[in-house]
Parts: sequence; structure tokens; C-alpha cells
Amino acid sequence: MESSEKFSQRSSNNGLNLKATKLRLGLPGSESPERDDDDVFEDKNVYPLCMLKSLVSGAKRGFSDAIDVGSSKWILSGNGGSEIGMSKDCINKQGSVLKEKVEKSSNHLNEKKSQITSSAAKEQVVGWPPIRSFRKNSMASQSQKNDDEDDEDVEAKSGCLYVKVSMDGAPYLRKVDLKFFSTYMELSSALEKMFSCFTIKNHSKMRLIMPQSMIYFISEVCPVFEFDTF
Amino acid sequence: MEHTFPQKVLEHLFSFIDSNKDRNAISLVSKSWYEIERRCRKKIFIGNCYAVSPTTVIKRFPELRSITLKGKPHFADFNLVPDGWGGYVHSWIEAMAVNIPLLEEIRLKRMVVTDESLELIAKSFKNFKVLVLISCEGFSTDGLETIASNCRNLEELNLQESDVDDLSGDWICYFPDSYTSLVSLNISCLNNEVNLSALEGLLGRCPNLQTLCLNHAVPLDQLPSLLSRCPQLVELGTGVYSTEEMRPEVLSSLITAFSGCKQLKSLSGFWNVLPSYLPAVYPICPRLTSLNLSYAIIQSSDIVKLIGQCPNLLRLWVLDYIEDVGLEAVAASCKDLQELRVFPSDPSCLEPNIALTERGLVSVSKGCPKLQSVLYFCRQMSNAALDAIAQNRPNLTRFRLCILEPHTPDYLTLQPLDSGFGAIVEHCKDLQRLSLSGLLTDRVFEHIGTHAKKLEMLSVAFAGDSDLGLHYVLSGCENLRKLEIRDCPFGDEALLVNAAKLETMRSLWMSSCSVSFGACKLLGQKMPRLNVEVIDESGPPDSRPDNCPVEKLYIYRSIAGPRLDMPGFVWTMKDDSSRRLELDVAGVEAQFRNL
Repeated sequence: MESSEKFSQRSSNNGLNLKATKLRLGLPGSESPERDDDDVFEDKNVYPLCMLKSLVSGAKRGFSDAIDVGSSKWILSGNGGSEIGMSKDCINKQGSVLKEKVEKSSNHLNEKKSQITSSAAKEQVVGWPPIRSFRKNSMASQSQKNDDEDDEDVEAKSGCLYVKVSMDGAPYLRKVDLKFFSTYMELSSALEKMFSCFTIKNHSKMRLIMPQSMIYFISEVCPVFEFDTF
Repeated sequence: MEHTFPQKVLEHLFSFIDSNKDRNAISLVSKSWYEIERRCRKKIFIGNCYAVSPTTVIKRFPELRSITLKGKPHFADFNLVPDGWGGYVHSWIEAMAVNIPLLEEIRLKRMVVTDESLELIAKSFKNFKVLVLISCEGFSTDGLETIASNCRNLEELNLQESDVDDLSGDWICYFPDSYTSLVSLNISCLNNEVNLSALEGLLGRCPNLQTLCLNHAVPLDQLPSLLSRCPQLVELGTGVYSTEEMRPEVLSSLITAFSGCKQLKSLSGFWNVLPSYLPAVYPICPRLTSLNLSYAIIQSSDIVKLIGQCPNLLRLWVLDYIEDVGLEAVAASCKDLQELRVFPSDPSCLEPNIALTERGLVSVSKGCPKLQSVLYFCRQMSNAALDAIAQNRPNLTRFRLCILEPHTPDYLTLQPLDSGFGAIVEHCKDLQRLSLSGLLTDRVFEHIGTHAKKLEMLSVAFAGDSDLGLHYVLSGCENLRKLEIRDCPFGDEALLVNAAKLETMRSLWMSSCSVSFGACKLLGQKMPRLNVEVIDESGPPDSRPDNCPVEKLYIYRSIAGPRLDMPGFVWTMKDDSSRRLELDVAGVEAQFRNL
């Protein structure tokens, strides 16, 4: 696989034992040729991945590739559109809040700071109308299901999709509404802004750990990504 | 008077007085009444967990059995308060675990509760009975396991709208077979399936069970069997209210199950409703006093058919699918209605797609003489309608109107809605809570300041022209306790002029307004019993000029001084020197008391 070769080249080139701390996610059934299981288990940071091991494998596109290539659409969208297309399995199994931890290469993001587009901000004023997340998420998942049953276009409806993001070293999680962002750049810069107040940011990494239900989401929509760590 | 009654008699008299307000009043009569009252107070309500320290509370009330704490500001419900802001309950639990081992009840709202906290509760309080966590977060089903395993006398476990890390549905298996005291269980916020056979066993062996609110993961075809274990239920929240396809045998077993519940008065849940199953609840409709259909995506005709059979409703929560015509039916049949909430089915859609307008609310205000509490989301409103509502229903105590698009004027006249809301506050003399929306100028605040003398809580968004608006409210509303404002052009002047007022209130929230950092500093320095907290995620506010407006501002009165658990994006406006002075003064006072 082209991307995994690229990846293993990079890791051997810079002399760091990146593999030991790597998190990988991929389509079920796809194998990463160079994956070393022992490394994965030794690193306590990837412990939760053990649960996903049977479903998850493979080394995919690097983070910097995701940005550089300029395919800056949020890559959870299967149809390449700006909406976050949602698999009905995901919604039905998942319910309201997804859990997601985002791993990032902070150097790359520092270079590519961008603001949340004002059009997105105009459409969705934060916290308005005043409806609790619990209600918003419940309604979103229900209306999605109804749409599917009616065989209509699976489009992201109104409502929100709140996920939790954690960064190593940060004392608490932050919540972010995935539907607020239409591109990956917007999301990553918003996340960076959220975590920028922690002084240890330069030594932190955000990790991506997907719960089982999220894998269904990913697998049905698009190839996934992995991040370099350091 | 204090010489007439011995302490024991006074204590006995006080034991009949339950309300916090009355208890607070008693404690102010005299020093000896203060002493007697504090030693026998069993229940305490603390509206802001940062207003007082756990140590102070425990020292004053050593015999507490029940504590209620609220943490984050109300606007945290709408994601205006960044995560990590605070509201941690753990220090309270730690202090009470040591000093009040006989504690029985903990009720929390908008607080951060960890598994560690839950474990501490489970292991420290031998007679623990009630755990209510409303809109809380930070814990997982692991924490629930320790509660289930250890709290032998638990009567209530209520997790309403909390954000729980749902790791496994087996936590419910941890209630031992010998455990039979459950009275109320609300797990409607959980995402995943709980172990159904364990749940059934639990329901079957708890004869006092009155409230059961399931989560959406409980399949409808399991509901009859669950209900058969607890036919004495008074309040039920269903799980999902549909099956893949309509199954007549499920419908008939539902009818049988519901018919068996002779005490059932309150229904909620109804996630993913298949309308053909609604007739199952018809047998119990006449007894219903509370109906929550606010998650039910069903059409107006189905809603009307259901509500038409519920003449005794006191409380109705519903989606705007009910439409004006449905609300007219409510007005005709639910003559005892006290509370109405109408939620938007599609809040971000700008076009009116539902035939729900101001007319629905006007009909209900006309037809329901006991209506006191309203929460209404709609897309259009007029001064005439608000005036009619005010005149129809002067007994309103809570009126929260949310017109979905900010700055929406009266759709008939294109004028601001000042006079309409003015009519509300003028006629509804007992109004305690008000939320404004639509196009509003300073005039509406003048009306509020002039008339809303009983108002305790006011929520304002996208309203007003100038500082005058804020000044009217702060100077006029004598009973104001909580004020929350977002996106209004209110600035320094009104705040500084009315600084003393802030000490008479629980809290003030202002976000996206025009209050400068300099004013915040000044307020913090001048008002020693106020905590002035600036929330700014873009960096330290003193890296910018003093006249720069702050992102968010939260001011609350406190006798505990600045809190010690502020995250990186919250700055207190208390300077160190005044804090040190307070500590010195407190130390001297303490010495005096010991003499």
C-alpha cells in the first residue's frame, strides 16, 4: 500500500522510534505490513487501542499529507461535500455524544493557522437558540433515522454532534461540535485554539482513540488517517 | 423571648420548618436562635458552590443530612462556558465524608463529578439514600458500579441529562440481590443498553419503586415485561417507542402492561415514536398529570388524539409539531394545565416550516386559567399577542419566550417587542422568571425595571441599545438574584454604578457585551465580597489594553474569596493584597469568637 510504505520510510529516516507510539486506524480488513504488535502494547498511551485491535489496523495517510495535499475537506465526509455525512449505523448505535481524541502534529498546525470561516459562524451562533446539547443530539439522531427510513438523501440535518477531545497533558477534555466545521482545517485550528492556553502544549500530543461505534462510522465513509507523534 | 422557651422546645418547633427561606429567617432573629437553628438544620441549598467553602458550611451545620449544590452558570447548558471551567464537587464530598458521615442526600446540578467522587460517596455515607445528578458530567458507569454495590439504603438514583461515560451496561448488575429499597431511577441520559435482565430483577424486588425513566436503548418489546415487574409505578419514561415494523402482539402486550399500571400519572421518553403504538397509552391518559412528548417526532393529529384524552394534565412538554391547531385543542381540553413547554423540532431552519406561531400560545393563555409557567420557541411574535397573553394570564410566574431568529421584530408592525414584554411584566405581578427575545430596545428594560418587582431571574440575548438598559434592570428589579446576558451592548457604566446591587444577587453573567477589562479590575478591587471572573480563551486579558472588552464575565457573591481551581482561561479580578487582608481579618475574627 502506497501510503503505508511512505509512512514506514519516514519513520526509518528520522531515526526516532515513532512506531512505538503510533496509533493507527484503518478500514477493517486492511493490514499494515510493518505493524509491530509488541510496540503497541508496551506503550501505555495506546492501551485503549487494544480493544479495537481486532477491528483496526493499517497505516494510512499521514497528517501532514492530509493538510498539504489540500484535500482540506473534513475527511469524515464520504461524499466529498462539505456536510458531514453520517452513517445511520453510527447514529443508531452511537446515540448522542461520540468520544474522540484527536492526535496532532503541533508544528504543522502552528504553520497553518486559520480562522473559523465567518459564514459558518453566521449560520450557527454558539449557544443559540438556547437548547441543551442533550436535546439537540437526541433530535439530530432521531431525525437522521427518520430520513433514512424515508429513503431520502442522507444529509446532515440541523442539530449538533458534540465530541470530546483530549490532549495529553491537558487537565480536562474539551467539547467541540463537529457540525460547526466544514473543513478539517477549521476543526484543527479551533482545537488548537482551545488547547492553546495550556503551557505544556509544546510537549503534548493529541491522540486519536476511536470507540468501537466510531469505527463503523469511519469504515463506512472514508479512509482514515494517522498522525506522527513526537 | 429567648428566655421563655428552653432550647429543646425551640428545636422541636424548628423541626416543623422546612423551607430554606424560613430557616434562614429564623437564624437571623437572635444569636441564640442562630445557634439552635444551625445545630438542627438538616437540609441546605447552596445555589453557587463557590459562594461558600465546604468547611464553613460543615462548621455551621454539623447535623446536615441533605445538601443541594449548583455549579456552573446556567448558560453552560448552551455551551457558552468552556469545558474545564470548574464546578468540581470532590472537595465537598471529601469534607463531608470526614465530618458528616450521616449524610443521606446529595443533589447536584451542573457540576463535575468524578468516579472518584462517586466511590467516596459510596464508601463514606452508610445511610446514603438520594443521589441526584442533573446536567452533571465527568463520571462513568464505573462510578455507578460503586454506588450500586455499596449503597444498601439507596432510594433515588437520578442522572437526568448528565453526560455519562457509558462504558458498560453491567453496572446495574452491581445492585446486590438483597437490595430492595429503590424508589426512583432515572437513567434516560445513558447511551448504551443496560443489562436488561438485571434491570428486570431489580424492578421486581423493589416494591417501593415509583419512578422509572429508561433510556432510548431499551427496546419497546421489552417494556411490557419490565412494567409487569413494577405495576405500582407513578412515573414512567419509556425507552424507544417503536419497533422496526409494527407488531400487533407488541401493541397488545403494551396495552395490557399499561392497563396494569393503575398509579401511573407521568409519562415521558417516547424516543423514535411509531404512531401506531400510541393507542397503548390511551387507557392511562385520563389519569395523567404530566406528559413529556418533547422528543416525540409525531404529527399534530397524533398529538391531538393523545392529548384529547388527558383532561387532567398539569404539565405538557411537546415539540412544535403540535402546531397552533394542537395548542387550541390543549386549551380546550386541559383546563388544569399549569406548565407548557414547546420546543423547536428544527431550530436551525430559518424558514417557517411548522404551523406554530404566536397564536398557539395565545389560545393556551386564554383557555387554561391555571397556566403559570411557559417556555415557548417560535418564529414570529407580535406585541398584540404578548399583550393578550399578559391580560389573559396575570398569574404567570415563569415566562420564557425564544423567538428563534435574533432581532426579530413584531411581524405585524415591524416594531420592537418592547411594549409586548412590557405588558407581561406589568400585568404578571408575581413574575419570577423571564427570558426575552426578538427585537428589543432599552425601553423594554425600562418596563422591566419599573414593574418586575418580584423578578428573580432574567435572561437577555441580542437586546438593548446602551448601558441604560442594564442600568434600568439593576436599579429597578429589587428581587433580582440571577441575571444572564449575552450579545448586548452593555458596558462599564451601568455595572460600576450598580456595583453594590451585585452583592445582593447570586450571580451575573455577561458574554459578548462591552464590559472592559479595566472595569472588571475596578469592580474586583472595590467589591471584596464579589468574585469577578473574566473568561477569555484568547489569552491573558492584561496583554491587551484596559479598555478592551472581555469575552465573558461571571460575577458572583462569595464569602469564600477567589476560588483556587480556576483553569488557564479564567482570571480573577481580585488582587493579592486584598486577599491577604481578608485572610488576616478572618483570622482575627476567629480569635475573637474563641474568647
